[in-house]
Amino acid sequence: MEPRRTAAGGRTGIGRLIPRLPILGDLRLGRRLGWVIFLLIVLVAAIVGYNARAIAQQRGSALVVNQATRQRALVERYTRDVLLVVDGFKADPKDSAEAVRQPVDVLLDGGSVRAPGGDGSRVQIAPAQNWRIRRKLENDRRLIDELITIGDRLLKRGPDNPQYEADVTKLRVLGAQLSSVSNDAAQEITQQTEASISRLVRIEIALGLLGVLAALALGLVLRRAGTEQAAQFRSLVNNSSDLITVLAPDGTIAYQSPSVQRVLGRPAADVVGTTLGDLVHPEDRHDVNESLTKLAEAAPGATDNFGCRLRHEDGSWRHVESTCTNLADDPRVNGLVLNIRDVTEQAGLRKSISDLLHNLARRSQGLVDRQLELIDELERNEVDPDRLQELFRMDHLATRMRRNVENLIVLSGVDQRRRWSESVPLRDVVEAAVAEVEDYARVQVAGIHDLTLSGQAASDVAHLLAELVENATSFSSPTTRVEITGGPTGNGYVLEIEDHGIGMSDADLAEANKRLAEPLSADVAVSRMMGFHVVGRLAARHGIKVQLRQSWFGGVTALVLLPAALLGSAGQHPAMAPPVPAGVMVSPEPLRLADTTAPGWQPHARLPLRRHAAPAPTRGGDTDAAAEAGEPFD
Amino acid sequence: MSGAGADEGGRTWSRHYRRPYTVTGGRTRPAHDELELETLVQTVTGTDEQLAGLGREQRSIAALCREAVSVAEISGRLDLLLGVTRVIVGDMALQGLVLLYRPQATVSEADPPPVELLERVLDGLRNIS
Repeated sequence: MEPRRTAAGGRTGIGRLIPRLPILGDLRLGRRLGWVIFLLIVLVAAIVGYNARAIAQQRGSALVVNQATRQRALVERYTRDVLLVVDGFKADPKDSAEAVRQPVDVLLDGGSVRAPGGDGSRVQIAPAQNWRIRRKLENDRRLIDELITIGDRLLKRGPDNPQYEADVTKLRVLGAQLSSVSNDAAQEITQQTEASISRLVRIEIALGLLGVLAALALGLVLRRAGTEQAAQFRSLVNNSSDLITVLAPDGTIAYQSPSVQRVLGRPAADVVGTTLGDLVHPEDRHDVNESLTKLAEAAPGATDNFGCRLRHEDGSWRHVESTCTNLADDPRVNGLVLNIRDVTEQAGLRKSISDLLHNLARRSQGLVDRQLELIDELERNEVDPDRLQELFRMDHLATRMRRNVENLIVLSGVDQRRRWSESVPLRDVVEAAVAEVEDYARVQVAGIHDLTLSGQAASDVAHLLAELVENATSFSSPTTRVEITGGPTGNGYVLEIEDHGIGMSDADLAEANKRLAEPLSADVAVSRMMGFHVVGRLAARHGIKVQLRQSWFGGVTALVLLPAALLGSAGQHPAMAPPVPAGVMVSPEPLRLADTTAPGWQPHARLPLRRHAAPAPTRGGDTDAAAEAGEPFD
Repeated sequence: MSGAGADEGGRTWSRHYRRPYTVTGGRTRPAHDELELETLVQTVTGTDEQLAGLGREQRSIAALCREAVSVAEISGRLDLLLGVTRVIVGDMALQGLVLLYRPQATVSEADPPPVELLERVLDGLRNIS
């Protein structure tokens, strides 16, 4: 709608930042503007219409007057022609008679006459409307008829006619009478025309005045609306708890909203002209600079978010979050606009929750560690298979508990003390990950190269892998294996975790990959896909890349790229020594040993090596042999 | 368990995080009952190819047992749980990778030696090594 756009155009660059609110006043303003504009359009149309009519009427009137005055000359010519012929001279009264009739006929009944310009064109004249003019014209026609009757009689009878003298006299009288009547008619027509034209002019002047008034009203309404809106935005900007800051291209603050007094305890005037960097905490300065530089180089209209700390007048630091927009292309702003929100309280709350979570998890971690040490001791001295099995079960539960507790520490976001400094064989890390998974017996590890992993990352990588392996075992049939393999790449080492399960829908896969790539902060509820969230956080800490893909064989393959910075070579082996051939397993398949337990067992007996011969252990147990061999307790 | 590639003194990461139950897939019962602590184990020669396809515990045992070594000593030297060692050695024997020699037992099968005796044997073996 036209008036709306006009109103919006009046907003300043800062105004543009504030989302347009559906304010009732705007609607009323729109309706008022609509009426004023409608009125203006009607007035202009009326003025144009009247103008056209006046011009047309004036032209027609001029012709009418012209016709009326021609009449007199024609009558005189006819009279003269008749008398000349009667007196024996040569003339053409017949032609003159036709000419005498024509103007009156045209004026009374309407018709076309030659235009006065002489270019041969003809102008249409409407029949006379005014009754007074008509009466005079009809009188005129009657006299012309009479004149022509007498003229005809004179021509027919010639000078020998006894009434000759009387007829000539009558002809002359009629001619004079006609001249007077025509004159009268012309005068009347002129008067009428002048009156109508002056009426038109008066109406036009009135319309013009009305138009000027309407335009003035429109201007006033718009100006008032603009003022109202400006006041509204000023009030929003001034009373908002957010800071609005405009940074000039050289990095100085070009505009600062007054709310800076509330947030940072400084008047806006003190801040304008200084650089933003002076207010930012030294530790955050680099990030802020980077973020702003990147935005300044980005296309106009680009936005970015960053968080930092700003110095309060009293020396304390306020946590803020800033939404930054590049409005360098807007001549009214010509810079970066920062919408800064004070989040100190939220930051404090978040930190205290994180600390609480961290402390609780820390204590649990200590307890679980002690429990595991105790279990280690018990296992060391245990020779009875049944009791050892019970201990293994406890061991497994405690190990999984430790994984959860350590994940909680990661989620708390508190940077924890590094416990391990020496590097760890990558294979150990993978095996540790398997130990942390509920269904570990189904996991097969093969072809991991002889590499070491930085000790500081070892636990996190193990938990990360455990989370992915857990996902793989949970979403595949209990009778299938989950395989972990590895291979070097140009920029690190890739571990692949492949299951033969039902796979994931493309949408779920996309969501999981998004969660992996951009882990949310811990306080956001992410009950769904919590595991991927943990993986994302763990990966982000060490620059690890994780991606899920549909597997060729059905199921899902998780790819984990360990960056070269985390890796080292093990012992004397070359960095990328070929791995142990596939088939190596952390947990050997339970072998079918039925014949070997039979009496007469030969210690020298050689049985063929069974790598993949044995089927995966089936739930619900199948063979006695498996039971005798000691089934995995899970 | 061996903390390969890491400092053997103190609890290394691997000792802390690798768990013994994964070595045997949770099994604790040896493939047969005749595998005693004092049973001697010797690697069969010419099985390198087969060994290459096995886990690191199996390979460590094969390397250690070029000369006959008792089950208890394997456990002590490789820092493997006794229960786990017995399961692995039992499997390897069945695969024909190691030979088992049962020393002439002075104690009958039905009456296993007391734990104290075994521990003394173990201590003795450790002292030898």
